[in-house]
Amino acid sequence: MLVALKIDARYGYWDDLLVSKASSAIVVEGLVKKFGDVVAVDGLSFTVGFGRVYCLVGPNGAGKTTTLRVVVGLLKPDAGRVLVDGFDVRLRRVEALRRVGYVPDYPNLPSYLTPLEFMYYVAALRGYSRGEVEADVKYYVEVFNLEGDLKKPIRTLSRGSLQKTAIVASLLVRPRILVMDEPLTNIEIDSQFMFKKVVQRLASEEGVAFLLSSHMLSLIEGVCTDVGIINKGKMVVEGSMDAIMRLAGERASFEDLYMKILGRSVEGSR
Amino acid sequence: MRGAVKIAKIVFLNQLASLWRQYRPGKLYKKPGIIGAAIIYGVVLLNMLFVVYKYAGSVTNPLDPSLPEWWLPGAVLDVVSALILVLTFTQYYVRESLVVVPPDFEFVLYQPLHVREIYAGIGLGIAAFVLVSLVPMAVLISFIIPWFFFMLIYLFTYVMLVLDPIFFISSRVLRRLGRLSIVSVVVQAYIVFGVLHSLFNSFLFGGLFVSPFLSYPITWLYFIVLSLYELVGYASFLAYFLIVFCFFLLVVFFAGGWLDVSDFTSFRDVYEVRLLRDLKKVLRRDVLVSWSSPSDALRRVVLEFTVYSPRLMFRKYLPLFLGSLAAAFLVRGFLPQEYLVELVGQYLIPIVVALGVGAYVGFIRELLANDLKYLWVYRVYLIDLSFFSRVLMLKYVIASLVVVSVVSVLAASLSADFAVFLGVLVVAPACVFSVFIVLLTAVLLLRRAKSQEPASEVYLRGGLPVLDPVSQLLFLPLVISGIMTYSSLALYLFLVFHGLIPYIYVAAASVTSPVVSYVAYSLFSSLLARVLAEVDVRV
Repeated sequence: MLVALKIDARYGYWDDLLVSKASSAIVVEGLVKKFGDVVAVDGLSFTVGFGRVYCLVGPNGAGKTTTLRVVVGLLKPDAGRVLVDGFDVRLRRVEALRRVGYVPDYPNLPSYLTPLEFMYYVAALRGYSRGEVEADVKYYVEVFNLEGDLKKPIRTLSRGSLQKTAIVASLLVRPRILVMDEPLTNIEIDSQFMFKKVVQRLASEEGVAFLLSSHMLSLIEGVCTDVGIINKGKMVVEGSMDAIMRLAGERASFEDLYMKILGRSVEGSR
Repeated sequence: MRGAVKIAKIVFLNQLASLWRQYRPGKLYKKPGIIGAAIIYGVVLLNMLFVVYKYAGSVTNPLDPSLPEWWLPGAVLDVVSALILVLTFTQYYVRESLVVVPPDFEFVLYQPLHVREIYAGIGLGIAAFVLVSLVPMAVLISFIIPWFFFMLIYLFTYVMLVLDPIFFISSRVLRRLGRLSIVSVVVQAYIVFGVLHSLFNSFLFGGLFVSPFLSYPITWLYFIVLSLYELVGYASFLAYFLIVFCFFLLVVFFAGGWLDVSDFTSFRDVYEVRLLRDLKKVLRRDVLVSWSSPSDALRRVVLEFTVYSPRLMFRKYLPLFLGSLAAAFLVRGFLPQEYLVELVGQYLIPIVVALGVGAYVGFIRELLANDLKYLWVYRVYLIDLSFFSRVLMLKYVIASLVVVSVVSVLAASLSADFAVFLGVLVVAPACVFSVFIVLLTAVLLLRRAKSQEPASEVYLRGGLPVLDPVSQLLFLPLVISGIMTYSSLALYLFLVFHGLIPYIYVAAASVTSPVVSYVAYSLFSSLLARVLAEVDVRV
């Protein structure tokens, strides 16, 4: 937070850096999560609006995955609260998660099902019949180039195909909010391209809110509308992508800004 | 040799650490963790030494009074030896699925060391770890079966340090020379001959006869040590270990030059191949994409797609069921009633308890490997977890009752008393309760364990949970609940067999217990749903 305030004072972009809390899809307030003695998330706060693509960025072990898991109710926060679609995810889990889709970083999927079965299974768990999702299944399977893997046991799939299966399943449940943990890891370039198009379309046309964590610059710079850079469980800087890029300066890239904010430099690392 | 010792040390410590990390991520190398583990291990070890010191000379062998009981050779050793010979032969010469490099140790193969050093290092490391793991378990069992300790140590060290190197190196060399298929045929013929010889002699002389062709290659050293014990006492132990170790070094250093890095296969590869084969079998079915409701989808996937599906349980237990029925009728035909009662009192009850506990350990494996491994899917997409908890409980209650039914049918056939069969109904509430305990234990394991690997995968790595006090504590409720259910069944069988319980009570219990079971099932499944919704899930 100290770094963030310094930057604001210098550039005077504080207003731009604040993401509007009106019609918020996800509100994270003072979130703390500990694993024994280790504080994974330390007082994190941010807001994701509908129709926005919010990207959590940070070094390994910064607390991104833990934050996303708390947002989808897989982990209990030790302090603070998370509102999803206006409901506290801890106190009113059922209402909060009704319109949420999630893609974990290492998706563990039932190994005895095929990807096709898993997709329909996830839809069925949310109460959708085969007929209701059939067209979407066909569309997304084609978009993500999954035809060849559809009838193989999930256990035999590559990491990329597993990831794509989890992404398609999350899209089938007609979510208003999608939480994805490093969704493009291990996915081939054409599917990455298609993924970005799908995200942009769902956000802009259908108002779906995305909370992503990623290390991929092309995703962060090309798709995300808002960015939060976290380190050691704390928010270092947060704002809309435009504001963040203005902070970086005219000729600088997001990468340069990221290195600067984290206090890293090529010379320093030698 | 220095390289081999270094590798052995790494293999040993890493096996220990990986076992520990299952339950206490990153804690092993902290001082209190090491001191705690050392104290527990020390206490168990001292206990063992005390037992051996206290009873070795005083307890006599019922078959041969000149020998202490814990040296018991005889039929048990013959059968076990024959099985080990057949299994190791089959593994190296017939199936060729060589399991040598444990997971996470593939990196050793790329180090600038002689292949013989790598092989010696891995072999010694695993042998040391298995031995250290076995000692406490052997001690515990030695309280019940005194001769078990030495036999276990003997078999493991002999198989790992003598048979393994010989079979492994010779099978590799034969394969390279293109002669493995010929030897495979010879080995299979040898096994068939040994089995036929055993059957022929059993038929001719009556009783169980194990052909020396099958048992002697394993037992010869055991008998030498036994003879030495008569002459030099405990020094024979040292002589045995010295012989085995020298043999290992000789084989590895003289024949190890024939080995190549490509001769090593990892546990992981073998496991993956086996898993894929099993999965392909499971997937010979129509693709299932249509369900009428979320609960229907859950019921079909959780209940029908796994090894504990009622359909597979029926297929798995039908031969056992029919076999036990046939055995029961045979026994009834040959044994007088008074022996029958004695037989049931002495053997059936411990067998029932052991079977039950074994089944429960299988349950926890299935839970961690399948049902709970994908808990994140249900937490995110199912939302209301009461469906899931109901189906989950139903699955294990059915599985538990199938095992109980087989035992009850066997006992009922033996006694020709229908009241015995009603044991299934009488113990149903206990089944429901213990399944609930098992599920809670699994959830607890899930919360603590960094990865939700089934315990069997830990065993595959050479690890045994005996070393890990935390895992032991976690398994304790599981074992207690298993013992509770099957002890209640055993107690019921005992009472009915001896006519100690009036039929009116049996009838009353049979009528009320389904109602009690259903109430307990509803109550526990809603409790479980709450726990499943609250527990931290590491995807």
